[in-house]
Amino acid sequence: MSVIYSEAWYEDMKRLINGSDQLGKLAPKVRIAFTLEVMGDGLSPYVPAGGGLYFLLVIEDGKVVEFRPLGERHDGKGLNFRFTAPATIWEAVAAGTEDPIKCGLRGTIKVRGDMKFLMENADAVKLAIDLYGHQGNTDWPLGRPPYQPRA
Amino acid sequence: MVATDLTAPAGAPRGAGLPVIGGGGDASGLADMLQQFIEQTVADSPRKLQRARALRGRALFCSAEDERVRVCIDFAGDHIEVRDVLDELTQVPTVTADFLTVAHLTSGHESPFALLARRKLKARCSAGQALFLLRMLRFLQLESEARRTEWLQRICWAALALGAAGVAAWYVS
Repeated sequence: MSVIYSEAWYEDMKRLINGSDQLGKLAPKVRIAFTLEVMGDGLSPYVPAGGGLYFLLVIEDGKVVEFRPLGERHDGKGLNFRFTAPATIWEAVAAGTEDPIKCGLRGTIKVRGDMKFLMENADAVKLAIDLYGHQGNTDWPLGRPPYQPRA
Repeated sequence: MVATDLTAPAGAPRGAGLPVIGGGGDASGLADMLQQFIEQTVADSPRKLQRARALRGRALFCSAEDERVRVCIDFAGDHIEVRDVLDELTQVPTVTADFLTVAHLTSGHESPFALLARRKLKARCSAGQALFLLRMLRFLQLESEARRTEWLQRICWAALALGAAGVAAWYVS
């Protein structure tokens, strides 16, 4: 078990994705760089309200070669996709209590980028987010979602 | 090849010569993704731009995962509007599918006919709207796949015409 957003957690996520043979076969062979933007919403105890956590993921040849936090929001140069959502949503997805596809369709997770590429590789995207949502290996020291509104 | 630049602010026009109007920050994810998809499609392909300008009509896209997510695409010739629909829209051709089906359709991994036959894609339209719906679905397919579908359709039409001519010739003789 690794604490959410900890160094060990990034490594676990990386291992999880790289360990999937199915994803290795489905994933496009090109280099894809994207960011996950976790926006503090006043409910998550892990991200301060009004603040944000930004992660860079680089996938090459179907394997995660980079997964690290960024000091600030990526300027977009060389980036293929940007996924933005409130921390509560990301954490609910990680806890397996929210369906990321539904979140994407409703717009609670905002997606920016090459939509043609996304559509062409939708099966790989679905598999990757299913892995993320069903890993069940995250430790939640400050409580797990769903969160109660704080006083 | 995947496009590699996200420096422009969200919603900034890509200068395709055909504005694709969306709902901005309040749009549902489906509307937002469809708007980006159409905008990128017409920006990257003069052929698709021409097709989009020639299309006239509206169609409703409904999410199979969430019945509240319904998006109307309006092809007006000089612009395309993609917006969420809250009220009931009657007389508008409607397509209902889940996200993966929409992705398989647009990427050309599966043909609209196969998806319709397997009820993965559900369409509701009048006979008069069927041609528009088919043209719109073809417009939404990626370039190479749309061409393949078009060629298949042409071959089918040619075979049908040849068959009809053969029957007519046999009947006359």
